[in-house]
Amino acid sequence: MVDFISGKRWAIGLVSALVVTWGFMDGASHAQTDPRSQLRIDFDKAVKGKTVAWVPITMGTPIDQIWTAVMQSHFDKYGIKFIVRDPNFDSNSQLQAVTSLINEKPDVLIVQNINVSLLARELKRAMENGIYVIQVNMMSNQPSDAYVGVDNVDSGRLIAKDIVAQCGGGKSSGKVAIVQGEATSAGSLDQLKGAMEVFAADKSIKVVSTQAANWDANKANEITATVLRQHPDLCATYGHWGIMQQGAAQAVKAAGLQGKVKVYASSDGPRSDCEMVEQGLFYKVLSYRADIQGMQIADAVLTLLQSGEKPGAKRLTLLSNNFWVTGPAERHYCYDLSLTQ
Amino acid sequence: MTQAEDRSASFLRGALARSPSLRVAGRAFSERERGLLSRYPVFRRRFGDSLDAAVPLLVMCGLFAAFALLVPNYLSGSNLQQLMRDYAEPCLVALALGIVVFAGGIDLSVGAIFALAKFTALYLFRIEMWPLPVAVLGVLSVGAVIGAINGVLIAYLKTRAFLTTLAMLLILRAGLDFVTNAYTIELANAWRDTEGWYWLGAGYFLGVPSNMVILLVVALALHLFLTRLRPGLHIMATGADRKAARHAGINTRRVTLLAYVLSGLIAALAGLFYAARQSSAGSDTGLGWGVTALTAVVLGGVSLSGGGGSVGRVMIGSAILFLLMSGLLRMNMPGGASSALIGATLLGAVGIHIQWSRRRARSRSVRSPVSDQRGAP
Repeated sequence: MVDFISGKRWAIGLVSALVVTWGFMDGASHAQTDPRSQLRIDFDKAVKGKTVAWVPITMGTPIDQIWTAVMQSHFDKYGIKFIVRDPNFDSNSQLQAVTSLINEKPDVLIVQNINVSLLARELKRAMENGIYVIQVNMMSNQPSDAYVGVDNVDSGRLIAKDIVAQCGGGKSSGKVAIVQGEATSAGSLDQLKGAMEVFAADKSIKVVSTQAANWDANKANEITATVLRQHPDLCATYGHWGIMQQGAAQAVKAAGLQGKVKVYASSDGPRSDCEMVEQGLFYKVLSYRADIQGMQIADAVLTLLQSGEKPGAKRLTLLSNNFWVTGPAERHYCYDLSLTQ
Repeated sequence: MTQAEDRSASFLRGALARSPSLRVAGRAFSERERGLLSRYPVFRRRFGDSLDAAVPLLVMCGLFAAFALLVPNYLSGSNLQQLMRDYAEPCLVALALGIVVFAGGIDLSVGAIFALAKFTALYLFRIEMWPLPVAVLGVLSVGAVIGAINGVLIAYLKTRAFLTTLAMLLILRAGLDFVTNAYTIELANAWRDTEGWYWLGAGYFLGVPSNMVILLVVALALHLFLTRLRPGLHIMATGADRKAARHAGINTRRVTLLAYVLSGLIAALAGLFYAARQSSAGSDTGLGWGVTALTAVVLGGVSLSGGGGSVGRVMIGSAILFLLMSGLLRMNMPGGASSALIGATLLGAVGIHIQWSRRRARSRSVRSPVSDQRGAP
């Protein structure tokens, strides 16, 4: 009898508990019924208050400034903390910046690799420590959660094909000079790889010089001036970065060969590169538009933070589009830094 | 006192007035000369000397404390390990410069030797696939040979140290650019790793990073060498006063050569660890490291006129600079500003150093005659 009563009590207790829980759940699902509001609630839960650390090569160039400005504006809007460390073109400082950031445990680490090997070990360690790693424009030998940037091999091919069309087949001396950036960076290595594939396939093209100017316009100027003295009949010079290649363009102008030697560059699209094209100092540049890349990087951050994946589990690749700039009609493929300030 | 004794004593007194640390180096001299030394109380350690040594140490501790307060997690185990890892190679390069400065010389090419050693290590180990111990020997001998070339030119052919090592710097950097360009693609894609190589770059011994362990071993060995062993004492004596050292029977040429060879060896050792740590074929390695090393040496209170200073001082100077740079990097200081700060620090340290030594020289010249009288027989 006693057992029966206590069993009954139990049953009543259980039923009322179920009713109450159901009521609560029902109430909760009422709050969820508006999927549009829920979207933002989930988004904020995933990204708000997160920390994103960014280590460029230097903050002293338009490309890094526009990337940083665009990212900053996105992250400010969503309540994401944004840390920037500036190694100022020094590989040792970049390594130090990354190693110290790993200890600080941001949620996402974005790097622009000075060269392909420097950060390889550290990027792996970052992912093992639960940090998402995004690499921008220049890959390291260590793949990571996301790569955002240009397909450098493809850029090399595109530019080389255009050079072959202009200089090959006996139309000119067929002589081409290549001005590399930092020879050990992915930006230079891969463009060179793509370009050499194309040049090697065409017998009328002779690559007379491949020298590294380490992203420095002055050095590009010196190298090109020397090449032009040895090969005044040069048909084209191809620089792996617009700002650096501006130095080469000035050397061509100084040698009185403007218009005769075609100056090509792969460009991130700063205003000065488009102006050089308009002034005829550059023959053509292939812009990948760093301003759009800035948004892509921000998107990659938001994607990873919402993915629920473990760092290092997947690989996301967001490639940039390429745009030829040949004259004033294409000036919108360059960005103005002043717009971000 | 005979006339010869008198002359010898005055030489020594001149040397010692310039460098208090020669007191230790005094051991290298003969018994008779040591007897002379002991009669002059001016050679005894002064309070000013200890203060001189204490200031850099205090600055170092102050900086460390400041960053420990300002930077979150600065005192965490992993951060301390990381700090040691990053500190070891620049400090080794500073020691490489330090030993030449002790001997009264200067070496602007330490950064370039360091960079060339790094390239050699990567080349021998990753491209030529040499066994690690053989590759290590190869790297060290490259450093020693370049040091020896510097040393022979300066000690035996009497070229000026500043210009000789500047020329060496330019030659090495040009050569480095050339070989880096030639092997870029191979180096960028080479991916050989062995346990030994991994230990050099990322290993630990009792929780201390591998390169820091080696730094401590090298520093201790170098300290004992410079303060306890005859060739080391000769280096200090030659730096303090070449003429006096020669009169005391020291082969100053051989000593100078020895200092440059040791310097090349230590710079190459730093390059080896850097290669294993970064595996980076980047062409900017070692750029500006010569200036950083010089700044570290001066910050440690080592006199650039030679004969003074110690391994400990160079390490402290190097630590001050390293803490400053890495701390500023962590506090999001713009890159250009940090470089400017190194320059300003160097200038400030040199200025303070000159003022300090002038003041001390003045106080010494006032006090010396009295002490001499009391000490004279």
